[in-house]
Amino acid sequence: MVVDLLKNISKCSFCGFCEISCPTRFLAKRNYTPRGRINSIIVFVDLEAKGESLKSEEMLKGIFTCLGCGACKIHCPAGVDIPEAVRSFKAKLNKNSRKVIE
Amino acid sequence: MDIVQEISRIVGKENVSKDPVVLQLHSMDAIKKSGKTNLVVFPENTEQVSKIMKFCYENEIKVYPQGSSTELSGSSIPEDGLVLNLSKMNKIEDISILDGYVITQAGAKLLEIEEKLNDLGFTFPIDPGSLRAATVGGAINTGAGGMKGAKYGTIVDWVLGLEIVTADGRILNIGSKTLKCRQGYYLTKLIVGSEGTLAIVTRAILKIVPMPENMVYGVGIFRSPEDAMEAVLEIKKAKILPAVLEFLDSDLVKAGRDIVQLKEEGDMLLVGIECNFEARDRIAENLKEILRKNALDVEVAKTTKEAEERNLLGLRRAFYPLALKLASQDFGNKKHLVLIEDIAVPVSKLPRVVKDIKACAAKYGFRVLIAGHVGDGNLHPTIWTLLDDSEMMERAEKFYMDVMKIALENEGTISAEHGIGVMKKKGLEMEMSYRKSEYALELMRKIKSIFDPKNILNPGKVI
Amino acid sequence: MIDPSLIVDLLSKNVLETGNPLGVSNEKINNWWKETKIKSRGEWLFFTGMLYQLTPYIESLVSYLEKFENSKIQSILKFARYFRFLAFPTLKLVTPKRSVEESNEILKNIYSLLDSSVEVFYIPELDTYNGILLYDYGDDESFATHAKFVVKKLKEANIKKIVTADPHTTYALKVLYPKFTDADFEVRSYLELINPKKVSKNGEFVIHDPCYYGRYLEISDLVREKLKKTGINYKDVRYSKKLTNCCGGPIEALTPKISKAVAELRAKELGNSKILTMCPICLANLRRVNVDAIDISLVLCNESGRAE
Ligand SMILES: Cc1cc2nc3c(=O)[nH]c(=O)nc-3n(C[C@H](O)[C@H](O)[C@H](O)COP(=O)(O)OP(=O)(O)OC[C@H]3O[C@@H](n4cnc5c(N)ncnc54)[C@H](O)[C@@H]3O)c2cc1C
Ligand code: SF4
Ligand code: SF4
Repeated sequence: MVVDLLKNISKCSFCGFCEISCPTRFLAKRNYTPRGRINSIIVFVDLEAKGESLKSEEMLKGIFTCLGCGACKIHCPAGVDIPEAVRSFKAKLNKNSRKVIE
Repeated sequence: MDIVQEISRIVGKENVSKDPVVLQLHSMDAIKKSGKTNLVVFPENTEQVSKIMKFCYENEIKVYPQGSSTELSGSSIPEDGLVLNLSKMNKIEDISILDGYVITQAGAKLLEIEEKLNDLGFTFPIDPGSLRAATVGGAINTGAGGMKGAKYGTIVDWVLGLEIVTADGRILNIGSKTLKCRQGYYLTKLIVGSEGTLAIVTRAILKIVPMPENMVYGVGIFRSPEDAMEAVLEIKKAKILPAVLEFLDSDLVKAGRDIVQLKEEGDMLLVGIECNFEARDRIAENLKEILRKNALDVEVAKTTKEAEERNLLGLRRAFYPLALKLASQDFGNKKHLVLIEDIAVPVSKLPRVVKDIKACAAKYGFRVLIAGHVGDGNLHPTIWTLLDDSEMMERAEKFYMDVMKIALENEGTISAEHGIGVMKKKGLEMEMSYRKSEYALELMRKIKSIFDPKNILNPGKVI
Repeated sequence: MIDPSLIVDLLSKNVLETGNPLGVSNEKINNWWKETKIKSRGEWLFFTGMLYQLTPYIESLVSYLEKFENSKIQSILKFARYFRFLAFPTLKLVTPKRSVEESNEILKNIYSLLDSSVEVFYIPELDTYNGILLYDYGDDESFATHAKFVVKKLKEANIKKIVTADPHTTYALKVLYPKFTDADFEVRSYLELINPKKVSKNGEFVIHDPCYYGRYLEISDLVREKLKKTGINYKDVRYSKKLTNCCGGPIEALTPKISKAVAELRAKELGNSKILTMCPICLANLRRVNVDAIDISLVLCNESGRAE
């Protein structure tokens, strides 16, 4: 799963074109934007590959406040399927959510 | 003293974050540089910014102003200290048709402003490719430009006035709502392009104009960049001032052939001329005739709608997605970077410069795509590299330096609109010494120290 | 935010045990058809996916969750106990009768619109919750298990063509079920099949496209064609159709506060007109911020008493 996920999200160029469409961006912190969600997954996966774990309540919140609405996806020049990447990452966090926050 | 507590007292707890992921996300940019910060702060008004700056000045805490971090020069990357993110200050406060301005807070995005203006039939004609993402504060501080540079210049020509907060927390209003304003030295224009090193921009008065009634678009495919430039000369001789005048090199056209249906391959010129609706036939005819003289293939659309339907702008718009796609085809899951260079040369030098850049890319083993705003001589040679491959990154840097050299040798400049940041500091030095004007750098350093005596504002950038 | 794993655990447990996210048997909430003449044979099986029926109860649940949202993680255990206490009988007591009636009315209208356009039939025992919440929260495993259960029932009944009432059910059956199961039904939203007639409705409406119809299934233009046939006046805002913005509904159970703020943003874009919705979640969530919204089925039909 992680490999599939990476294939999709490693294309992200951090251009931020997706952010303006996101309904939760009013929260300002980037973990509540599509760009931030994708890149927090990248941060998580990178650390995991190094055998480290990430403790971040904001990451958890960012991922689970994604509405799956898809407003971001149509504007991504890199073709990242943002809502799907976030959704499939939820599954990973579901099992670890307590670990991530405590 | 607990910094977090002090800053929280100013902006409220909810507007401060120390969460590790928030810190990371706010210390990256669109060229995948990543820095370090201890705190991200989201002020809600100018008074809060002023109090934060006073506090940081007294305690010598470094402050890194930040919009959307879409800069392409490393200019928004923090080293330590705190990131001051302006995105909560995003109100578009006033639009005056009579006086011809929009007043907006610095965190508003250019697209939001454009939508509001368009509803009234007006426009802010600076439209960088990053329009969707760029904030007013970021665009002003990088000195952004767009596709319509030939006719409308860059953002420096469109900022009438600014509200700024100085390094020691003073709130200043410089410039005015009027087009004409002789307020001693042009401090307003000095702040434009200063990349957050002189002051925090909190509010801007921007000039606006009516939207054009119509645009006539033309696309020509040419045998060589020389032929394309010949057409540009003819357009100028005909006393036409196109708003859009874009060049796409033959490799880019080849790579994007399936995006736009093209009969021929070659170097492409995209021309967009603003005009009254009634003038569309005459201007379209005129343009067609000029392009036909030496183009292999010509397409002209009389209206914006027609151009959209026939997708004449498709390839220009696809430039960035295409580069991203080719990069990810070449590098797959490995972390990679699409590098968009940014130089400007006199229009007459373009054919030679395009040739030199291609040779240079070949020398360093890169595939290069060149798109440019030829109306103003601005070229964006674009390559892609692997982030974790130090040898390749080194080669990329050499390519970057050589492209800047090519610009200087052809009477141009090393940065047209993306700014200096950290990527082009060496380039800036090279340019000033090429011009035998090293002392200009000295003057700049002095200006910096007058504005920011303790060097706490975005230190390490520009000079 | 409420700990997602807690919500997801409870949801999947409920769905897998009872077929329903609230842990209640379908008979208790699926009553709309009792006052309607339904056919038990025809070409298109009407399948509601239970979303319209469930929404009123979910809404009351959300108003309770709102109180817990800001409590610290430590109180999770207490919350878990409370959550169980909020079982269906309690929810039923606190859910306004009028919302339940409205949902029934909507489903009746949809059925009657279909009935006058195609050969539609309904079998209450086949109608089941669509499972979409599990999918939304990333619990693919439970979603697949549930989807297989639903598909098996439908296949055993020899169902080939299905018409749905809401965007989430449409998307689940049309796009997701074929990915997760061996489903190969022909699936349409009722809005694609109906032939509405002229109606006498005054005033101008603004359309709020649900994300699934606007972007994922791209049927917004078709909906407008149908509206034109009825002679209803409607207006589009900048962010409509493919560019529509979300009502905030999908995250209401995890973070009612943010969900509500998103609804407020959407409400601002929609303006002060009367808003047409096509999804029970949109309807409920926009109403939480006092938007004057009405389900499109209630204006597409003349006979509805509640339409005005
Ligand atoms: C795909 C892509 C295409 C682009 N196309 C163009 C283009 O066509 N033309 C062009 O000119 N640029 C272009 N850019 C570059 C960039 O988007 C623009 O320069 C943009 O204006 C930066 O805005 P930002 O809000 O992201 O600023 P940031 O990147 O956040 O900041 C840029 C600089 O401004 C400073 N800053 C930000 N806000 C403030 C403030 N309020 N007060 C003081 N300093 C501040 C920062 O410290 C930094 O030095 C492009 C970038 C990308 C990724
Ligand atoms: S799908 Fe998620 S990230 Fe994308 S716009 Fe919607 S809420 Fe934002
Ligand atoms: S638009 Fe796509 S590439 Fe750009 S930041 Fe968003 S996810 Fe990344």
